[in-house]
Amino acid sequence: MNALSIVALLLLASPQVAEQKPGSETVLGPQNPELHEGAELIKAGNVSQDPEMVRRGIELTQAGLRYARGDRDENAGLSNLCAAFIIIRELDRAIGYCDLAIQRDPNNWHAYSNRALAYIFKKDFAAAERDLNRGLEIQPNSRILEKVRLLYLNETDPVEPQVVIDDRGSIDVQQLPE
Amino acid sequence: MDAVVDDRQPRSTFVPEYPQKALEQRREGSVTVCFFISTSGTVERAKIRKSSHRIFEKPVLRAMRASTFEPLENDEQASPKKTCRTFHFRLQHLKEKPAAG
Repeated sequence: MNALSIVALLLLASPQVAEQKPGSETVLGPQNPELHEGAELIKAGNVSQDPEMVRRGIELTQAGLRYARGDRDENAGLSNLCAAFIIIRELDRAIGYCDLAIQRDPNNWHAYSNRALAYIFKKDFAAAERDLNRGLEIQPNSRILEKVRLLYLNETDPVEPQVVIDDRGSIDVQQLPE
Repeated sequence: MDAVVDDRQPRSTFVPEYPQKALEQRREGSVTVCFFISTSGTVERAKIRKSSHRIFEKPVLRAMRASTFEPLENDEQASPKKTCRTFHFRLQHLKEKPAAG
C-alpha cells in the first residue's frame, strides 16, 4: 500500500485545547503543547513520508503524555503513538499503544481502526477482522473503517471488477411509460 | 419508402467505471437503460428501465450518453422502438475460497 493511502486511513486524534475565559484577551492554545506539536509532526511526517519527522513527533507525544491531564489528552496521545508507529512500520509497538488506548476507552473506534491496519500489515487477518467488526459496531457508518475493511478484503479476498454489456434488448416505445 | 432499421450496430461503446463505493461495499448489480438512437447515431432520451441499486445508475447513463451507433444511410429510417442495453457489474474473485468443512 502506498503512503498516500495510509494518510487517508490513519486516524490522529487532537489533544485538548485550553478554554478561553469570557472577556479574556488570551490567545487560545493547546493545553499540552507537546501533545499538540507531536500530533502535527506525525501528520506532517506522514504526508511528506519523512520518518524522522514522525520520530520527532513520537518523542514529543511521549513527553506530552508524561504530564497529560485528563482522559482525552491521554487517549489522544496513545492513539497517535499507535498511528505513528504504524507509519514507521514498528507494528508491535503500534499495537501495544493501541492496546493501551483500548484498555483506557473500550469504545475508542479510532484505536480499533488503527490496530486493524497494523494487523493487516502484519498479515494477522483474524485479529484485523475482529478489530474491524468491533470498530464498526461502535461506529457503523465510518468511512475510514470502511476503507480499512476494503484493504482487509483486498488482502484476503481480492476481486477484479468487471462490467459486462448485454445488447440484446429492444422494446416497442408504446410499451414504455413516459 | 425508407427502410426502418431496428438493429443498429454500435460504433463506439463506452464502458462505465465500476463505482468506487460499490467496490468498497463489494456490491454487484445490473442496470438496464433504454434509449432512442438518432439518425446520426447518437443516443437520445436514455432512461433507466431496471436497476438493482442506484449506485450504478449514474455511471451507466454517463457511458450510454457517450456511446454512439452507426449512422443511417439516406434510404434508411430510425426505428420508433427503444433500444435497451443491460450492464452487469460483477466482481471476479481472484483467490479460490477454501472449501467448507
